[in-house]
Amino acid sequence: MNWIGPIVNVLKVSNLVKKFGNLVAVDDISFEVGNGEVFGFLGPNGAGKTTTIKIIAGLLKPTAGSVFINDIDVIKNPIEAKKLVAYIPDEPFVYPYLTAREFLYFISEVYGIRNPDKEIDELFEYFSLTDRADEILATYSHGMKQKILIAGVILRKPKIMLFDEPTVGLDPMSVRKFRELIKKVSANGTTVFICTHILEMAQKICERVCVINRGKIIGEGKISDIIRNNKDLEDFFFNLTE
Amino acid sequence: MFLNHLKNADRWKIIKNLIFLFTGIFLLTLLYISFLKVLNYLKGVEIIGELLVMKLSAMVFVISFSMIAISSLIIAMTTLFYSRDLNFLFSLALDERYIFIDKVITTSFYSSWSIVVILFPYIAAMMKVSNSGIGILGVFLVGVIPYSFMAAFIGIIISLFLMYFFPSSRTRDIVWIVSSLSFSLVYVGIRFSKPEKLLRPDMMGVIANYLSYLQAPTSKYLPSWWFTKALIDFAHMKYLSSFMNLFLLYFVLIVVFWIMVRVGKNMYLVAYSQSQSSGKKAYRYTFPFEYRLSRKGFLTGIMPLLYKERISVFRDVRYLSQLILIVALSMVYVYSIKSLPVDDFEFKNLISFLNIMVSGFLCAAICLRFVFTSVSYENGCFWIYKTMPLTPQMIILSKLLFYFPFMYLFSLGIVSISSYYLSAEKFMFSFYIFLTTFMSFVISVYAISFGSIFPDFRIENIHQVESSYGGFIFMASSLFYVMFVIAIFAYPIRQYFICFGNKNLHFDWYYFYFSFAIFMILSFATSFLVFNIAKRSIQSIEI
Repeated sequence: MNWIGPIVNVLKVSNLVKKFGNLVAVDDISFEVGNGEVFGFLGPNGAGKTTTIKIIAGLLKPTAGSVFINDIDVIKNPIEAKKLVAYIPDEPFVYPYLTAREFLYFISEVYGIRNPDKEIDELFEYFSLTDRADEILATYSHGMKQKILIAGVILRKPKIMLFDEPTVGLDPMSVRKFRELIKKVSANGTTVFICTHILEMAQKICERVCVINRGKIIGEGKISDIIRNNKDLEDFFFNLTE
Repeated sequence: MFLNHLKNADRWKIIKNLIFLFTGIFLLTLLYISFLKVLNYLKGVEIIGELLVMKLSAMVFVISFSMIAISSLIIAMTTLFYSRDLNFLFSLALDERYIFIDKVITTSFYSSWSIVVILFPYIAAMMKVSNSGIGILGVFLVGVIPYSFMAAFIGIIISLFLMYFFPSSRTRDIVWIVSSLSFSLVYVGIRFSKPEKLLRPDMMGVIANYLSYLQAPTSKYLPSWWFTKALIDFAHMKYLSSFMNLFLLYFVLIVVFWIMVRVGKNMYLVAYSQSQSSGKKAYRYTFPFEYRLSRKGFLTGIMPLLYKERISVFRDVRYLSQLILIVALSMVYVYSIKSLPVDDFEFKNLISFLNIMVSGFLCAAICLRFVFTSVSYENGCFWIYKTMPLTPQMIILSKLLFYFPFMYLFSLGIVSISSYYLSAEKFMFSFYIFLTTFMSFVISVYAISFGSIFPDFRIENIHQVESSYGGFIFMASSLFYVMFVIAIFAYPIRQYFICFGNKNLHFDWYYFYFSFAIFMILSFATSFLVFNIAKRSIQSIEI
């Protein structure tokens, strides 16, 4: 069993196991993420990152173990837990026949956000989508859909944000804006959990990272400590995974 | 791929396929009998008998040729421009001509196979009537390849030009709607022309006269005519002429293929690239009534989902094209009821009672297309619902509440209009309305529940879900339910009519109440059961 523990915990994952038939995708992992922390969940392809984040988001059921968000059990009380969590998958599937504006209003309505007009307009402005806001999402590119999903998450102001490869498909300017947004929301107390294999981005925005390989956590640490003891995050990552 | 499909087929899949196979064989046999009857009659007409057979054959082949071309045009709009694998294929170091040819072959096969299968009974009837032996089947098999591929190529070339000059998914949508509309008009037109009259012996002469005047299908420039000539000449033992027509078919096929590949080389990549940029239609956002109702406390939590469903369905043009076909189907059904040559009171009431069964079947068929598929229709977007704080019943109910009114109105319309035409007795009329209300609700619950129990979020074409194992189970359950309802009410309804016709007899309501109780228990218990299984299924879906 691997155990990493920080400060005031918003996310607590204990002895998590997920099997698909004979394949053990996640093998008895445990970690905690603190309030307002930007946590990087790193690993090569097929390491178990997406499976873990999907369990936290409530898309998959674990074979064993538990996930708590703000002391709410995700498995036993999924509805309450989902109110606190926002998730963005690596493939940005969105309703093709809704316009971007309709989609954001739909999100607002489901989560009980009243009068979001001003904020929605600001988000369109921020992501340079104002002139395309009333077009259906089927006409959007991968990156544009990703931006709309990020805007939806920001609009909701959840307790914890889960991102699976959030910058894939984004242009450099949008990647920079995304980084700025993450810093801003974490400063406001929102916990950010990012699955990625883009180490450069992880080094720039994460405060703490954890490396998973073949379903097991093989290393963790604060970015400041990692950079002090290694050349950079990439060096740390390859030392663990190679 | 086909062999792998067979190897991996489970028992249920094999049973389902066998049922479809035997139904298909049965329908083809019926077609064969009808063709044989018509061909036998035409051949027996003095002096011009052979000419009439030839004209009818020419007509059959020219119609099939046009159907393949139209079908190919519709299918090519998807396979050539919107197929999911295209992005991957274009990313490979492949000459686009190979991609184009691959898609051409796929399109040609899918657009022609079913029509070619339907032609088999006609050829078998021709073989029997002309006593030409099995050889004519060989000529058919050799000739049908260039015949059907040429028709498909024409459709593909038109689709290329359309997408080259009018790029965007709107073009595809318009082609879908226009094609559905034209198919529906032809269907309604055929029905309204009262084809049943043609079965009367005195009408055969009219067909013969009509055919003898027809010139268009025998135009020497039509590939369908070359195919007809190859078959007819073979039947008349003019083998050289038959061979020459087959040769002409293959020669022209090669020419058309060459033209198509040249056109494809110059236009396909451009048309494909342009087609990816959809028509940027903007929709002005207005605060929807569903949100208003939700905020006033009416079905809070479900109303926003209803809004999403409404927008998605009404903007998806595929729904519109199918609605057109359903309207045509309903019109034909009601017209057929109206045209029934029945005056007898008892028989009319019997028909109006059985009409409930037909409307139940129609409702099930439409539910299969719209309600059953609605969960799978979420496709890759189902993660949005799964990560939202929604209970499974909220998801299922939102879809049920959206689709049920349409299903109900459809069934109600069919039953009330046809009962009106059948002059159903007042009490029975009200009873039918009541039965329809419940049955359409129960069938809708079955549809959404089975759709939730057997979802498929990875399909490219929503029609694949309809023909899936779950679709089969849903249809079987619905048909069983409808048959059961008819069976439990058959006795009391029969008694009612007997008593209605004879005032001296007293109708015993006991049987009616008893049947009514069984009906209510069956409807509620089965709905409750499948709905609960569906809730658990939605809960346990992992994506």
